[in-house]
Amino acid sequence: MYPFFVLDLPHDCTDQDVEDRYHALLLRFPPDVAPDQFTLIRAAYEALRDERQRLSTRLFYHDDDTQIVESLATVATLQERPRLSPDALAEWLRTFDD
Amino acid sequence: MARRKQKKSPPRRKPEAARPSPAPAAPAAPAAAAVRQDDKRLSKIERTLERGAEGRALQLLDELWPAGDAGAPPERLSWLFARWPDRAAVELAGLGPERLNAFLADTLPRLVLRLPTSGWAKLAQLDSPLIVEATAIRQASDAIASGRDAEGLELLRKVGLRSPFRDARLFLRGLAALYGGQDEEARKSLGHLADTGGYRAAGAALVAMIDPTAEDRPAPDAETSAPPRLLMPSALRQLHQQLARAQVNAALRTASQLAETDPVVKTAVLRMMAETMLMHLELEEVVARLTRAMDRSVDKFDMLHISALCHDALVWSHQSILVWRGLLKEVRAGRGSLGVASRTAQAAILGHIATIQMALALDDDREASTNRFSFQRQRPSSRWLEAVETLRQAVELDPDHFELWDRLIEALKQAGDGAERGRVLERMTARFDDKPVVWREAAIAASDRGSYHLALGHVGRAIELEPMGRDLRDLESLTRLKLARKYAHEGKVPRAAEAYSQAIAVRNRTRDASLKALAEAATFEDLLGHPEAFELLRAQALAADARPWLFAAYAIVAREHLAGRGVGRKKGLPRRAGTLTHVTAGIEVEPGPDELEAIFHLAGSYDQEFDFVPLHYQAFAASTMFYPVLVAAATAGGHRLTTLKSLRLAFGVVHDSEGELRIAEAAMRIAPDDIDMTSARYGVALKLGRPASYFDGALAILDDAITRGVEIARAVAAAPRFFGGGKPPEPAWLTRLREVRANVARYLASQAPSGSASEGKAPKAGARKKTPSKRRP
Repeated sequence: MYPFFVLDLPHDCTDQDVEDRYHALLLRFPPDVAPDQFTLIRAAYEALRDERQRLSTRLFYHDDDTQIVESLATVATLQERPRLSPDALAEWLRTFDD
Repeated sequence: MARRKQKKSPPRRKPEAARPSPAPAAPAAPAAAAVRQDDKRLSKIERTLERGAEGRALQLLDELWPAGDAGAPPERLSWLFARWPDRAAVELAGLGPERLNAFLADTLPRLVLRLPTSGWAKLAQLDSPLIVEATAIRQASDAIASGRDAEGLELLRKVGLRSPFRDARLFLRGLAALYGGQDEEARKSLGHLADTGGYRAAGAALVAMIDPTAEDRPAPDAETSAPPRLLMPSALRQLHQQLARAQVNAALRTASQLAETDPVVKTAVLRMMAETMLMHLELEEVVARLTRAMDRSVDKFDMLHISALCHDALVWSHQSILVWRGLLKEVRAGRGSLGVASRTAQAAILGHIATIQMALALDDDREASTNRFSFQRQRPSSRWLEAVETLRQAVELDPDHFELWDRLIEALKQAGDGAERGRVLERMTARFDDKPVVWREAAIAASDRGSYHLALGHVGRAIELEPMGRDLRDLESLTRLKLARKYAHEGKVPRAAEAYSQAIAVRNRTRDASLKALAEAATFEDLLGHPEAFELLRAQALAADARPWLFAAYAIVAREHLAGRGVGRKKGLPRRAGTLTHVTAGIEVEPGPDELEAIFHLAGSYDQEFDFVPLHYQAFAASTMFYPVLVAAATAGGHRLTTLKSLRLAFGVVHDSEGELRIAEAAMRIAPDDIDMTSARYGVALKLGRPASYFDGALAILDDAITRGVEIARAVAAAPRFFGGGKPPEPAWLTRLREVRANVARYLASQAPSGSASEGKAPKAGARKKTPSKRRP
């Protein structure tokens, strides 16, 4: 599964972003509790560790087609719905008033 | 690229509470036109505020919503709380208690979640019973936004079902359920929103996004849809179900909506869809469908890129190179924002193209290797040179990209250009002097060129960088052995002896490397006529590593290196007659499994060390020196090779008929039913002219083997075949078995007294051998 997608990071992320996101996900999905998720997270982390690897991943990565469907189910468990801050919620609600 | 028709947005409707009241002098224009006019004026006021011209902004506001004697109108206050809270507080102070309560009752339920934190802070300071409930709503909103859902829901319980804040309460409950992934609960709460208070439209947008492909969902206005990423998990689960059921069209609909969220999701979904669709559709159709489904968000670069990845996935290497070159042109032209310098991206793509070229070259070489006995040395594929050229361009574009250099030296190695490889490695040692692997490869290249002192310097630098690298210690040991061997060939015996002692002294290497160094040093002494020194070194080796068979094998190889065959070898050492029988004599123990594996590996790899031996000769020349070791291991003292696998390996290496027969007999004692060994045993026995008594019962054994062989061949023929068709020819091993059986029968008939041949009739003299047809049926 596309590593940027697994770690939910933008293409222009930095090394520090990758480290931070990896550690945050590790806390949620430790290997002994969630081995499937951990495998995906670890592979994604390895693929994004430095700038050249990120470029290479962006340009040349492709999934093993036999594993996409299974990986997709696992990735769905990684994706948390981002919570809107009160100000962002207010801003969004106001779009219904205009 | 065809543009998808945009859905018509519903006409923009101004909610009642927020719509400005018409000015007395306003003409009776259509309501929509008035709303647009007001929007423009409000935008202008906002821009004026952003510039800091508060006086002018107030003047414009007064023109839109004049503050009369009774104070500011409610819509003016609502707008001010949202955009200019300080001014709102000032104007609110001007309202009397009655108008204040009327304003709050009318506006607060809508305003409570629409105010920014700063605006709410001003409003919360008012003294009104409504503010108490509104504060609970805001606190609940803050708690839910921070992930404290339970706390938020507890606060919402304070708000009654008949409260004017009922809709705000339901909306927050729905939002909390949505954040927590409880989609059904969210749908239920948001579905109960009334058509007042301005929450229903927002709730509908959220419900619509929970189920992005529902047929009957209301088409969300682009401006009023829920933030798409909120609904990512639901959409992914849906996509998962659709892909698992191979519902390509439905999956494409979901994917195209997901792709609108952000560039990363778009890229991920495009790739995922392409890969999955390749399982069901042709490449051209995959690209066309993706183009149709994604045309709103995908440009030419993206589709070309997806096409290139599809070609990679299908391993259509030649077309793949063409597509990647097309993409390279796009990058050179400045299209496709990859977030790095163009030269870096170009180098990366060239590196990828070179990788494909190298894979093609490897295929070429493998195909050529089937002509192993062509009596000519194989030439490496010319594609290696193409890969070298591509990689040269790549490293020029991005000289700090180590992997590109790494691939370049590999391509040069395969292309057989050792001199250029050495030069490239020397450049690499200057650029990547902190990488031990570079120094190691440079050392190997220098050693291959015969520059052993330079090689030792390089390997020393690698060891400094990676002191615990045992492979580096092994390399040092091997290089010192080669140096010593060189001195020995040149007749510089004292210097050779010194180099051998240095090779023995290398520490922290593997057991094999240590044994090898001692075996070669011992052999050197043996060739000089110093049997005591030989025995001393052998005792030293076996004390540290009790693998006498492997020591013997290393000693045999060392003898071959020092005094055996070798084109161009100088006569530095005397060539002593006879084999090194004394290295195996007196070994009473059975060889261990790892020892046997090492010997077989040594026999197999020996060819490569003597690449100056013509290819057709190598298979025999390289192995003869191991015959005594292997045959003795197979038979001496009663089956020292104790597994069928070991014996078959030994049979493959030994090309001496007596040795082959002894190994085959030993194998049949372990596995009497083994077809290969049965065929081999009697075939070799016939060749050696064993007496007829040797073949007692042979025909029954061979008949039994043929029966089992026919069954195996039939089962193999019945299995599904990927290529070709029709009935496959009989396997060569079965034909060989039939030939052996016929030859044994003929031999026995010729040996038997007239009229008592064991097989009834002897085959006619001069009868043609049955050979397998080369033509497919």
